[in-house]
Amino acid sequence: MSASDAAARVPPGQHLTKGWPILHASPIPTFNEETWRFRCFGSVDEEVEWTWEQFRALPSAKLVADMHCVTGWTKLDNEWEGAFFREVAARATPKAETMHALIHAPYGYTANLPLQTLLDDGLFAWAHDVEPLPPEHGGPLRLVVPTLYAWKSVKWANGVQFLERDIRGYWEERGYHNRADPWREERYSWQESG
Amino acid sequence: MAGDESGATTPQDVWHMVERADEFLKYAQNRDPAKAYAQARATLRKAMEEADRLEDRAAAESISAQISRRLDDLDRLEAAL
Repeated sequence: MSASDAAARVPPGQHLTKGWPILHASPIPTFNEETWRFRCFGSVDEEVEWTWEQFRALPSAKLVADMHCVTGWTKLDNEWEGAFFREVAARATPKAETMHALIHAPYGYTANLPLQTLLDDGLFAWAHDVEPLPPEHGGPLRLVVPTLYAWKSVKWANGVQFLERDIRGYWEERGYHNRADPWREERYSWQESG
Repeated sequence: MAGDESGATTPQDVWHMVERADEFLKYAQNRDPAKAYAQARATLRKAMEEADRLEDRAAAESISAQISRRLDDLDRLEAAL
């Protein structure tokens, strides 16, 4: 890939990183395969809960995508493996009125996204570049939504709350943008009215 | 701090301090969490002082609420250490 090809994939205000910075708002939770559960609840016909073994049995897929962190770095060509959000949603049967979802993680971390964005772009990843996803990067399971700033790609994801009306997540309540499109540089909540 | 043309602190200046505190928090687990939380708290306290001086009172109240929320977050994180 040429330097100009790479530069064209870097959104405004971002710079390329060769490493993979580690950052998150909470301590790293401990993973126990026996007790781990993933729950779909809220605006659904019937709540669903999976064990780790059951979640890993969902149809798997690969996705190569760039990652853009609101702190300024962009990491190109991440190869993710996991289950598409649409596979999860197909089994959770959200009600027709469902328009949004709140992704949950330990320590009360959440991020809100439009349901359609999740259906189009969301992947729950358990591997990165052919290796199991390390705990510091969200293992055993994180959401990946490459079209949005990375705080929406919730680490240690353990549930989806389907919503008829939008509810802001952890950083969205703390002054960051509700949509978070890096190509529009949607970093802060005060940009939302513009 | 950049300030406006008159040199006065702007809401954006204060928000950048809040962002700096957020970065201490986000990178805390790579370093010494207790030290990072202390740096975040000190930055937020300084940001609160600057927010109190803002002429734009609506912006000051909004940013102060965000700072208070983060100070509460730090209380919880430090209690969990």
